[in-house]
Amino acid sequence: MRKGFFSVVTIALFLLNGCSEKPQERYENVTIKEQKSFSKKEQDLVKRFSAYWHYRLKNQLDKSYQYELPYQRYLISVDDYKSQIDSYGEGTKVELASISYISPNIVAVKRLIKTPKRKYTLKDKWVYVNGTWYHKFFQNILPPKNKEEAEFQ
Amino acid sequence: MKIIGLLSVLLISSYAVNIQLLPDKNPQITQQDVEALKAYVKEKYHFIMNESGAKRIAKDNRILANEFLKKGLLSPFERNLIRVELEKRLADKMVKNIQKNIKISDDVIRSYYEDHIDEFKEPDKIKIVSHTFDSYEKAIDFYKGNKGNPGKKKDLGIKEVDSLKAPYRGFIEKGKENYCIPPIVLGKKKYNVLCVEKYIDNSSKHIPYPKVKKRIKNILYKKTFSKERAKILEQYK
Repeated sequence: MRKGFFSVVTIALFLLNGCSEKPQERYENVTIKEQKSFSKKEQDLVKRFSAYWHYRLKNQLDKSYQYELPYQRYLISVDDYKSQIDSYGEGTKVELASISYISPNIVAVKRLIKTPKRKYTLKDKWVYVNGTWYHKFFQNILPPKNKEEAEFQ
Repeated sequence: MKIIGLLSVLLISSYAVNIQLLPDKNPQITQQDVEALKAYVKEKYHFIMNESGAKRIAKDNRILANEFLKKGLLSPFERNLIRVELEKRLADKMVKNIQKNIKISDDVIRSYYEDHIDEFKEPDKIKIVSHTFDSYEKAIDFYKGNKGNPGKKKDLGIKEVDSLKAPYRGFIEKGKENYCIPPIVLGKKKYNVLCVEKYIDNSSKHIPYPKVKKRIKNILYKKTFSKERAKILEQYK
């Protein structure tokens, strides 16, 4: 009886441990406002969005770089990438407000930026490539150079 | 020894690329000369020359260039300009040659395609019929819709709108069908009226990914050209 109890506890601990090893999908600095049920493809987007913004807010740019579009990474080195980003201040949080489709594989994600002093809304562009969502990177150091940059910067 | 065309000798010395230009004793052109001229015009002016035209121009150029050299008109400055142009061409080829061997992953190419999907649209097409007349009066009469002499009629089939030559393209209206464009003068006693029977609007159709893969690769190579050039230079400086 006692042996059986220990086996159950061991399995439970193993499962818990197994779960904790999975990639983290929820972050203290990124929240999801939208309550509607997401499709599998959208759930993947929410996960990628959360991880990406977690790294951006934490200034872990080597990690957020991996979420940028592959062709952008081909064209922009990680050092150039870092030099084109103005970091967010301490205590900033991001909330995913809504997702809207531009085309079947491109979405605009509205995000709410909450800093200790103010709240404002910006937009992200995410592109679905070979089964994975990637963020489109726009520099935020200089004024926008084109219409798209002005929309998503 | 058979001398073909301008005798141009490239000598890679320790200082620069040396060019020696001498007049040809027998200024005959070869098929390779014709092909080279066609490729040059296509690359520089995006224009495809026909075989006979290319042959004639290659021969004419050869005669004039030969005379220029025979008269000793090639100044050192002109020779240097030719060298600069040649060196730039060779330098570009060097970089492009190395770039071609750099593999670009499918994710990179595909991501460019998805992000720029609206740049990869199928071109609009039209079904056209050509009517050729020996007088302007007959051509304008037909164009104005007066039934009668349709001239020499030729069904040109379906063509891409953008592939039409400038004077014709300017008259094509998006979506409009069953109309003719005003007569265009083709030559002496040769007037052409082109009639559009059908307009195929492809503005919502995208070119499938496999068809544009190579084009995207070239776009990416162009975008990384300067960076790649600097990297290659580091090895040889």
